[in-house]
Amino acid sequence: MSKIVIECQDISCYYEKAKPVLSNLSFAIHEGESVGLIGANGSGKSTLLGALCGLISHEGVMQVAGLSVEKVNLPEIRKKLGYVMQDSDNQLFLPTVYDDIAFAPRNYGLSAEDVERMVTEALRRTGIEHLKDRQNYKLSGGEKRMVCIATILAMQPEIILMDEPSITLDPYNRRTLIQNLQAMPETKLIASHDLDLILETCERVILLDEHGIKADGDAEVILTDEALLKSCRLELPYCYQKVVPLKKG
Amino acid sequence: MDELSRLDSFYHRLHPLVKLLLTIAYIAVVLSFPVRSLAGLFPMLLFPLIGYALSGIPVRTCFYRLRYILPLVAFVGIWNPILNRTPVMTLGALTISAGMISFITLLLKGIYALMASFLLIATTGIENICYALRCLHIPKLLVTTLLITYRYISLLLSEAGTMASSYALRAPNQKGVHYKAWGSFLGSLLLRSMDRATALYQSMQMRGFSGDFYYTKGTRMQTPDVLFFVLGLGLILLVRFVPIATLIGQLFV
Ligand SMILES: Nc1ncnc2c1ncn2[C@@H]1O[C@H](COP(=O)(O)OP(=O)(O)OP(=O)(O)O)[C@@H](O)[C@H]1O
Ligand SMILES: [Mg+2]
Repeated sequence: MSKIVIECQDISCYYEKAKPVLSNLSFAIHEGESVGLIGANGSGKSTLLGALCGLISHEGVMQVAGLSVEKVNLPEIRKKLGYVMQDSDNQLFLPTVYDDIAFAPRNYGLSAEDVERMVTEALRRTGIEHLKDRQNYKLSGGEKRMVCIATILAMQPEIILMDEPSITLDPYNRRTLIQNLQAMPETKLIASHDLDLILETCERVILLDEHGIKADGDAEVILTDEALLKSCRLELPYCYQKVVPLKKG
Repeated sequence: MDELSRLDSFYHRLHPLVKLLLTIAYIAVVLSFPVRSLAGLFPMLLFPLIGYALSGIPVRTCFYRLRYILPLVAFVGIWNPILNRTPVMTLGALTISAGMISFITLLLKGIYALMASFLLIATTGIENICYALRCLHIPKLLVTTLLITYRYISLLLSEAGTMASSYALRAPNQKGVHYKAWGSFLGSLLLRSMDRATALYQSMQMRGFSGDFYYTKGTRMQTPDVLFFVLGLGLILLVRFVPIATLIGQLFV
């Protein structure tokens, strides 16, 4: 089996120590795996992703890329992690799309030509070359989303964490995203309510419920278990639901 | 503001450090004029005007953007003419008091300083100013705080805008925010913008920000930068210490 890149042993994550949002969580993700993180609203998906980046406090053993998630290691860990936040407005902070995508490469000290190359590549992969010189705060919700994803691609991270990547995307952009995800060899942990997207991009699923992991296993097995999904306030992906025949005029 | 700093002109392209130092020198010199040296202050207007001309930003943009701050500047000196009525000269029926002169001096100083600062931010962008500050070995912590504060203020304004529209949509019959809601409105405004500022800072950290400004690291000071700096500083000092207005006056006597 390939090497483990994310490992959690009996961790709890909390905003206030007395009330942990997640507790007694254990799992490991191997290099190159794509894992879907699903669960009802408030089940702690965003919290877990934040904790892996060291943005939210946790207790217990948590290792990312072989390093323990603690203050001294954070710069090193964050170099390897790309994190698409749930709220695009929180992610973008520079005036133009170009600058925002170039922020990480510039910070990592790349030369101007390399920065240019990485940004162009990220814009091309997300299909948003036309937005390059636009102002971030004047974009539509879905356009912002694609820019957020491009900012992460330009970092060339080893591990990608995405929080609701497909939210606000139109079907075409959602498809671009799925194709991108499928083509990416990196380790991915994707939190989403878009179960069809998870089914298409992930081979494994972790289902969160009641502060912990309710199920962890093969994506197709979990995503076809209607009773299990229902008990966690979810439902079957649309592709497994009853097909409504097209009405013909 | 950030939009303006995207324009391209000779002044925009100057090295941020040059612009920062010249602006600081200019403001320091303007403030150093004694209270009654109205005649000396007038020629100082030249520098911002040159700067605005070089940058292609109309001076009126500055006054338009700063329209809420300008009255505050006037307010600082407003009591002078009332408190100090010692007459210094008479123009026909009008007696000009020492207080009026010092009021106008203060007003001019304020306006000049604002014009110069606006020009700096509008042509340089906050990141580059921070970079210039780091070149001067100002501690990381202070510079990062400045950057975050600047971003925080724009956040605060945009959050306030969002909340006001959301309020207005659900209270269509009302003009503005009802005074009873001000408390909770302000409270959640503060909390919300603090949360967003934290999230944005986290997003910066996630992408390798550690208080260093790598942006302009490649750009070196070049000969035109140095020349402009020497020339600018020389002129500022010249106007400060040579009473140009008096000299011109003497020409005609
Ligand atoms: N800043 C915070 N302070 C305190 N509690 C919080 C904070 N953010 C989230 N929570 C709580 O933590 C729990 C988990 O939130 P989280 O955002 O991780 O859920 P989620 O699974 O991402 O939900 P969603 O599907 O709605 O995005 C929720 O009960 C929420 O109320
Ligand atoms: Mg969430």
